[in-house]
Amino acid sequence: MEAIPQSVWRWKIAAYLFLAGTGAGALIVGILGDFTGYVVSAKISVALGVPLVALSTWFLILDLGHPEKFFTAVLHPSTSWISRGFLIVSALLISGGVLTILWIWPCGRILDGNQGLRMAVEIIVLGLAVATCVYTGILIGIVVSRPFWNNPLLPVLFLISAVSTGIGGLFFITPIVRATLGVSSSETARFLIHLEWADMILLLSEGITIYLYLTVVYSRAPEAAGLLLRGKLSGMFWGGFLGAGLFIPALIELFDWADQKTPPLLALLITGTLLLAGGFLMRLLILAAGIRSPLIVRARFRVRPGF
Amino acid sequence: MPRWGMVIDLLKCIGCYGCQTSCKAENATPPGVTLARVEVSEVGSYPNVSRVNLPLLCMQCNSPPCQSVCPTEATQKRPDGIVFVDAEKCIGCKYCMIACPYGARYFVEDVRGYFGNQGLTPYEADGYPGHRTGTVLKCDYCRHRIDAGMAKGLKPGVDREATPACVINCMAKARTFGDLDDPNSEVAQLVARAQAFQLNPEFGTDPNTRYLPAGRSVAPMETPGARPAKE
Ligand code: SF4
Ligand code: SF4
Repeated sequence: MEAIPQSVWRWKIAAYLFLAGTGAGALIVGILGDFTGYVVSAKISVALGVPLVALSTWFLILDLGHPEKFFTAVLHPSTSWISRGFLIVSALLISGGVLTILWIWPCGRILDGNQGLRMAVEIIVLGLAVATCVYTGILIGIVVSRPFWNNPLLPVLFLISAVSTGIGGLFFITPIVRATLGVSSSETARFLIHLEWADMILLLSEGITIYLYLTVVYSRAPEAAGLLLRGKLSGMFWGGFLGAGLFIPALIELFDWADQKTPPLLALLITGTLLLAGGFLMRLLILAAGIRSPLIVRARFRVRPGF
Repeated sequence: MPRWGMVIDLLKCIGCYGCQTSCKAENATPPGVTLARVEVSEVGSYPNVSRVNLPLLCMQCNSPPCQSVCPTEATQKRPDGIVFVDAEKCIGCKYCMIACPYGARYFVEDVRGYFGNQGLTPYEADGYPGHRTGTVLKCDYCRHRIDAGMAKGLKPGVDREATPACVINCMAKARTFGDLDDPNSEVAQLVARAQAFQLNPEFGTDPNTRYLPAGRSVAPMETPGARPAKE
């Protein structure tokens, strides 16, 4: 009998993990962009990051039975990763908010003129953004009785995917920014070409990590891995995540990059959408595959507890 | 300070669901919530097939993962080992349901009754307001019975009034309750037997709810200290 997918945490938590990762990823991309001299694109990316992280917390709160008391979730940081995540994400929102306000809008002058201070703030935001991506993997990775998650590769996978979806987010809004604000320069074009190259590497590493992950997990949680590889979720896994979310965007990026010209807006829009959808689908699938270990009655019987 | 524990004898359990029903009656739990339940599985393949009845409830773990992940400290452990949820503090994040290896926790979505449009029965109307919607519910070894009984000077596990409902209602006497730290208690003596086991000890939860295996011959059980029958 095929196992029943995990159903306690569903799409809202997947949206939380995905948006927190994507927002943090966009901040990472933006800050690294600024470090390498692509100021205009860096600003777009940073401006995208903070609202996404803020939106992610909204989904977490939406999933609570008592959303009105969400702030009490901070009370147990000594052991609870929800409390710790609350602190990490809040710190990211505050520091990212400061960076956005003082560098982009409405007081953009302040950090524009002060390279040293900007760099200091950026390093703090960068650290917290990486911590946020890793945290989303630890949150579920610490659950010992769900062997599909309980794997040190999970935070790695979420970090890689977060940066990739951050790039996806930037690809997605670049055409919109160009259309509305008219921001377009050879600098952004060059940055986008570099990002296409970087994202290809990221997608390749994501594919390799997924492969290693499933190899490790297969022996410990064959039923959970089976759900993805050939069970109920296999269509979404092979066609949705691996095909549409990983392979096709990598292919578009390869063709684009080979051109070394300003990436066409339509290609950016499609790649961005696919990267974002793939990232969300990956969180959704990993959550669903996180079923419990069967209970073992004296090595002879295996009984699977519900949900 | 006692440390409450329960031993469930899988050889004696006949899978009658008496514990499940008596828990529902005692705690007035809404549909979908079965704090005590029996999981019945068929195991093996033809012609060597057997059935196993596994009564489950909160294991009242000594190292409860549900408690360590709880961000609000709504889940707490009493000095007597009982793990409970303070519904006033619970924000319904369900992290504990994710973390509990035994499926012992339930989210109270809403308290619709068992009879749909007909509304709540007087019994449901009386019992359901005790549960807060949007929070998580779990078995707490009927701590209301234990506390009230002890206040009267009764002994949980010995006096019916002070003992969890599922235990006193088990017609096969498969469930035994008492103080694990009292070497003279029946539970402590059962736990001392070689065959007694915890469910999935590899999770590191160290449950206070223990089991005796179904696959054993009865004779050695009647002679404490005898070598366990080969399984
Ligand atoms: S069985 Fe589950 S709910 Fe009960 S104490 Fe252990 S982890 Fe917590
Ligand atoms: S659902 Fe309630 S009891 Fe469970 S971890 Fe969240 S706050 Fe704690």
